[in-house]
Amino acid sequence: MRNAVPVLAWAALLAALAAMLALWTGDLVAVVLLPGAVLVVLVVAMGAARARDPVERRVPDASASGPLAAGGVALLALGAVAGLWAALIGAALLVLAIVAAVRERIG
Amino acid sequence: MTGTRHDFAHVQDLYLPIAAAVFALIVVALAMVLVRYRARPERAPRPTRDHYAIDAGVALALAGIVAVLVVVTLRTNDTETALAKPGFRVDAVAFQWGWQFSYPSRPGVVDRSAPGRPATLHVPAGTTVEVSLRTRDVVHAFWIPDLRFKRDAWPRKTARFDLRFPAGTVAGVGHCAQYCGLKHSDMVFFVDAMDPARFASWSRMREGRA
Amino acid sequence: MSATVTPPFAPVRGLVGLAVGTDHKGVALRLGTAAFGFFLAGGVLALLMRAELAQPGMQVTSRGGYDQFFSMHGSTMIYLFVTPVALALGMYLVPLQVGAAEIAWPRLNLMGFWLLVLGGVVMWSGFLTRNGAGSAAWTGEYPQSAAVSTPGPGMDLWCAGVALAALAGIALAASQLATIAGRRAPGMTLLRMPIFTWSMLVTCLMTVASFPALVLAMGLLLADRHGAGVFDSAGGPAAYQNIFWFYGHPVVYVMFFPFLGAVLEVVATFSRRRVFGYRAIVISLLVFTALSMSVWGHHMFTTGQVANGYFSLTSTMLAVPAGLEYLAMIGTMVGGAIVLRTPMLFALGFIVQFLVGGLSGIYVASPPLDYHVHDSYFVVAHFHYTLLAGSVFGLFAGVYYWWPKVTGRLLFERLGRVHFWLFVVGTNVTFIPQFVLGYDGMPRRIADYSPAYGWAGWNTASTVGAGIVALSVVVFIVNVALTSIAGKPAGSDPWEAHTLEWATTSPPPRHNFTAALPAIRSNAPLLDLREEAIL
Repeated sequence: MRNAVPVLAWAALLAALAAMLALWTGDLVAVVLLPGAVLVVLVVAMGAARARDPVERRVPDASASGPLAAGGVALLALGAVAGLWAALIGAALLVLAIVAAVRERIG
Repeated sequence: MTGTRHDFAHVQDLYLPIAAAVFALIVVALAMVLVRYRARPERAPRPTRDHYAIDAGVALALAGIVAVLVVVTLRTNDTETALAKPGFRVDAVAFQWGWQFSYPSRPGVVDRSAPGRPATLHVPAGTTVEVSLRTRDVVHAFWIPDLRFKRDAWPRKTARFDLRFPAGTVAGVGHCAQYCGLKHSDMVFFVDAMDPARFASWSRMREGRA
Repeated sequence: MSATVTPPFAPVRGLVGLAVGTDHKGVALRLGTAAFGFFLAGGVLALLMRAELAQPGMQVTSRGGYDQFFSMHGSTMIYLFVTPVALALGMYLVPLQVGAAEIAWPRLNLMGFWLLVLGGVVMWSGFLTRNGAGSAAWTGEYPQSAAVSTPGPGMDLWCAGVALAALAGIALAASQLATIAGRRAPGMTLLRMPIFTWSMLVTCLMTVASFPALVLAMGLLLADRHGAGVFDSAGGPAAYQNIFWFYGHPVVYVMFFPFLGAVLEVVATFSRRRVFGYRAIVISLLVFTALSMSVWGHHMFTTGQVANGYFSLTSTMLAVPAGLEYLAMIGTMVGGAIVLRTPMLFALGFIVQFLVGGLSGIYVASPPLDYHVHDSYFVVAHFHYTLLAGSVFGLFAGVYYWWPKVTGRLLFERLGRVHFWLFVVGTNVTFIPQFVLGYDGMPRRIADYSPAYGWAGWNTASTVGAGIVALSVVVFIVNVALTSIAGKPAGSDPWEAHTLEWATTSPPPRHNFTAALPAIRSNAPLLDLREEAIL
């Protein structure tokens, strides 16, 4: 729980700055950006509050899921440039990456 | 004399000395510290003792300086961007890659860039010039360095600002300051700010020809 | 360590190991190496640009080529060099500094590394396409970046590459936040964490809070370029800029705070004293970074589309926490026993030169001043003082400092000094002329200028400076190469430092600490141990 304190303090600072901007201008796009960031930071605070030192962990020395997931995301992004086929291969790679990660945790 | 060049100088006359003083203070402090506290075999380092009063004091002093800077800045910015009573009007249009200046009070008079020949902005010196700035395509920026002022031209928007060119004839240059593609470097224009007599004869000549 | 760690597989060796190894130290080294490679590539682009600008006339490149060069130079340095190397520094050191055996989310972290590399490859592959690489500046200036103004797949590849690099940053930052939250050794409360770890905490908060805006901007831009008409309304172009700069300002602080943290550690170690005003530093780190999330409109002062007053106020307020950081650095030295080894030289260079960047930043935070110098070489000089003459000096302070821990060998002192002095001379000779040029009216992002302006002399001087910077980098590379052959073994704590990473071997073993950790009762546990031993 203590972990969340600096994160919540940071979120509070952002919220104060967001409020000041909202009072200063009516421009919608500018006004929603900071509150959006506050929401992200609150999620981080929740994660920080729940973090605890694990008793037993299986830490892999190697994992194919890392590069596979990255390749999948990259091809998905390239789908916008290269076409649907790239996005489909990317999605398939992402599935493979998730499978690899799950197998490492179980087996 | 008011105008953007004066407003700029007014603010800079505050900011530059403070910046120079802060820089000098830190550099001198650093030099003194490096000389005084250089490692010597006979002297051990003094254990760190925090004195948060010093931090608070420095924070307060800096906040005071920031307050002064911001007040002067915001006041000057309000003056600089306010639109005074209408002066000589200029319609400026930026496009890839040149400028077009027309003058509503002089119908038919147009100064337009041609390849290899920059347009010239003709304005009266010593009086308010009201500019309406638009773009035909991407974002450009209208910058006259001699006046210490620039403003962007945005699609589907009109930017309005007042300029005052110094009394007496001024020949200057203007640039597009916002990257706008292949010939961005070529988007120069000339400025011819004319004293009343010359401006009157320019008007007569251009309208006669129009 | 309180967690039992059972590695289920033997470490994978060779090239495959480089791809799939999850040890945060290995991944950090690979990321740092990749980032340094991008630094060299971006540096070559800079040298090409400076060669072109030295004299009026087009001698080196075409106009279209120049537009690609400056766009890819900025993009490479920001997306592919300084941001990743900052996160790599944290990736390597944060688990060690908090006494952890491993980073918290090693697979996500590894994915982040690969996203960065792939993003860079995708971005640079634009050079191989028919219209060349992305050429709408590192910011994707809209509507210049729209399909009608910058057609071709190269610009699309740029958008995709940038989005991947942004996702990489988020993944890497999340892993470090999880490590700080959940993997600290017993006794290490938040207020006993090293200052560098605190600087990474706030850096990673900014990253996860602002990088999604970049992903959004790139997604919207790609959609717009393929006919979705995203930015067609009157407020559309401004919306793009607001979203982009919401990322674009915090990122410059992501590229600053890790190196500020490194400099604070170096100053403390080489003054042989604990850091001065630890709690004030922590508070000012939190305030500084929060404030930095609220200043983005200062990039848009001349647009007439944002609340100039608000952004001028928040931008100028940055001087307060910045001043406290400077007080901390100097206050740590007061009463110390200062040793001027190479890391300390680079730290001092950072302190003086970043100040030039910071003060010129306060200058341009005033709209009446910015109306003149925005989009001119004055602003180019400003941000190169903060980023190159500032952050990269801090980076080298950290590199020379932690090199012995990472590699087990010390870099050569004399070559380090040569590197330092060449770098000091080079950066100042390059960028002081640019303050003059910008003030005198030279716009930025221009491939050429008329001889009538009288700018050639200052431009030539600036180009000479760039050559000196390049030479200094060569000296560093030589130092690295020679040290790898004939460097002196460093031992675990060659500098008599304060923090936990120095309590293990150099380089550290796979799970960081084999012996029991020293008791953690302050933010300088090794200094505590040493002082107790004397008593």
